[in-house]
Amino acid sequence: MTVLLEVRDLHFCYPGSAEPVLRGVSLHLGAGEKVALIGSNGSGKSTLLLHCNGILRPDRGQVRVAGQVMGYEQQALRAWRRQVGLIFQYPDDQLFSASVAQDISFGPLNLGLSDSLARQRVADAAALCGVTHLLARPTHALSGGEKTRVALAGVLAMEPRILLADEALSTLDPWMRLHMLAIFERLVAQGKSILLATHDLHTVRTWAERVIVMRAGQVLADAPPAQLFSDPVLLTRTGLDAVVKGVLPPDRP
Amino acid sequence: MFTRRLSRRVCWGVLALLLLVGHRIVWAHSTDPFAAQGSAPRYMHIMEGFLPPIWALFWFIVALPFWVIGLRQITKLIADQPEMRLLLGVAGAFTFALSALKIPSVTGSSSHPTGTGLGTILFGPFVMAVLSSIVLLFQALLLAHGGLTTLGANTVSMGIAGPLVGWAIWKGLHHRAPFWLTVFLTAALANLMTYVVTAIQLALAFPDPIGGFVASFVKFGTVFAVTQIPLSISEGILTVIIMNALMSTASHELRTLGVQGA
Amino acid sequence: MSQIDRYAYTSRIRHLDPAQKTGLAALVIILCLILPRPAVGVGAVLWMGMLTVWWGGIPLPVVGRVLLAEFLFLLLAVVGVVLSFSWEPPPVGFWSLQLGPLWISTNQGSLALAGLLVSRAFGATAAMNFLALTTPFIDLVDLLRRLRVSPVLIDLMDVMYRFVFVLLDSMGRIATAQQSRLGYATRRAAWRSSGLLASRLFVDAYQRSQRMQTALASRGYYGDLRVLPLDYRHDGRVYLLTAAVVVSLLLAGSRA
Repeated sequence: MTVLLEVRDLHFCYPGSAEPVLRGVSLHLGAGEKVALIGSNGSGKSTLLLHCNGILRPDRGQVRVAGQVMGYEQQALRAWRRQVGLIFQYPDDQLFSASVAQDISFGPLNLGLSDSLARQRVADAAALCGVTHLLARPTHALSGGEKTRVALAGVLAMEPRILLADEALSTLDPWMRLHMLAIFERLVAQGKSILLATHDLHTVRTWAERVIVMRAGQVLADAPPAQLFSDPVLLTRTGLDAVVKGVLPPDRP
Repeated sequence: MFTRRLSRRVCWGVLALLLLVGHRIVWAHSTDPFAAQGSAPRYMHIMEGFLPPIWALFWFIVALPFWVIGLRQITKLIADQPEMRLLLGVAGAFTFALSALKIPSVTGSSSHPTGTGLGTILFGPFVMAVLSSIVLLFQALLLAHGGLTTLGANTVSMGIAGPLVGWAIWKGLHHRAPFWLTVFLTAALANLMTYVVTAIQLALAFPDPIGGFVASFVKFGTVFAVTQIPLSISEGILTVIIMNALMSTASHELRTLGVQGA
Repeated sequence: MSQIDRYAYTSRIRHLDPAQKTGLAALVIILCLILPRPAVGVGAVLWMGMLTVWWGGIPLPVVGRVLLAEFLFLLLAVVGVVLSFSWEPPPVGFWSLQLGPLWISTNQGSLALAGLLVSRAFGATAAMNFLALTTPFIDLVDLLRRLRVSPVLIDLMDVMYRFVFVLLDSMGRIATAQQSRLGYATRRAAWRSSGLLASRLFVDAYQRSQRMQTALASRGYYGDLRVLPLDYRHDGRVYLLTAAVVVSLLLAGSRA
């Protein structure tokens, strides 16, 4: 299996802060893989995802896409974001255009595509996410689930090979969550990879092929869910034993 | 053709009654923050179709140089820092949202601020002129308040004269008077100036048949004073409260936006 | 506030070219302003009201309510136009009333002017409301873009439009939270809560813009903005309609 995304030994500290948020994180993502990323709040998941899209630059370490080390000049960043798409937790933070069609066309137009090609991309992405009937609507006139799907369409219109989702399903109701996972299945069938940061262990167990567990800026486990949840050593190391048992460990406030 | 003499007492009684009734008609809401969504802003915009075409055109021409300079400043701001694009949009939207905020008025009911006082402190008068015009456009097309042909006139009163006075006061008093007083005067006098200029605009367009421009100005000034003077004071007070809250909770953001003294 | 906005993007003629709708409304407003007879304003109200209700599909009570939105301003301003105040008796030809030392008077000219103003204001407002209720704001901004208005301005309007609703939403939620904790129970508390609300909204707005900046960057934005042109339905019959309206208003304005 070809490795599409690879992160090697990332170290990162936010400017002005003394505590490093990422302390030597390494992981990889293969073509067509469905990987879940879990960890407590503050474990560095979001920071890691921002590195994978080139928003943040590590103090040490590198990010490789399709084997190539990613650079941070404008042209390089453009090529990077063509391949790696990122959607965030709150759709209101990602929908910035006045109308749905305009928002979805934002990415393709930034890539320098012609108007007609951009239109095609918008139509395709909208169809994939089931929001074609919303194209003419103002972005504020959508429900939460509709907004999330429009945000996803906006990223998919750029046709990335890798999709990073930072807790993008957490605000959705169970039925909308299923809907989104169905869209993810279609993407995977096209050969795309998905890295989903999530708190939802049910999704992790049923949907993910592999689980990466982070704590305090480090990767503590990287294994298929069946293995992770049955191995007592892994469970203790990651602290998931308490979650699985439903009992607060004595050392955690 | 006919005249009537009434006793002094009755006159004052009638006047008092008028003021009371006027007060009640003007502010029919309670201090309920939710009535804001959909209620009418009560500051003075000249409504659509009220100004004769010559005057409407005149005020557009007066506003034009400010728009040109403001647009040039905005274009430069965004070219230097692309993040300003969103920030300015947010500032404009914030001004609009503020005008939908319901605040208790000093007379006891509630009213809405114009929001331009705060904006001027943050962005200066020329940028504020452009942002105010867009806010006015929004108000005309989304709230049916103000007008399109009167956009020029309303911009001059609410987007230029008000902010200019506010800015002058801010610059002048900034380090020379207590902070709260500076902020209060900036916001209250900016608001008051808006109302004064509107009265001038109406008086120029509709001079009194007996007393000419001056009498007309006094007339319009008085008629609207009932709502506008308490509103100016309320907005002044509110802006002080807001600035104090911002200084304590958001001094970092204020500094990034370049507000001196933060 | 979202009322007019919602009617606009669900109206029956939403997909009609905004240039045609704006052309019609603009012509009506201009005619109301330059023709000196009240009949023009009345005609404009009737035409625009009819078109908004029957063509646009907006309910009549809504149209009426929106038309009266500036009623208070109109009332006060008309009082200012009609009445004259003086310290001496007015000249011959005026009807007047004396209150103590003050003379309040009016004359035929002022009353006629007031009548014209009221009809003209209502007529022009009806035309503006027709536009506001049947055309989504984004379409109007797009029209300005087609008219070659500065792209910086267009972009600013789009961003503001987007943010306005987000901020109003935020404001509503903060106000609810405050009210549930007695934030508006007394006048003094209401002052404090309003101030806190506005400052909280400011910080919220600022932080949103920062988060949005990240999302923008992640989709490849570097400072120049391109927008896809929207497509509309162009209906030739609208020209006939516009001509009919214009001719009827001209007739109303010219008859002695």
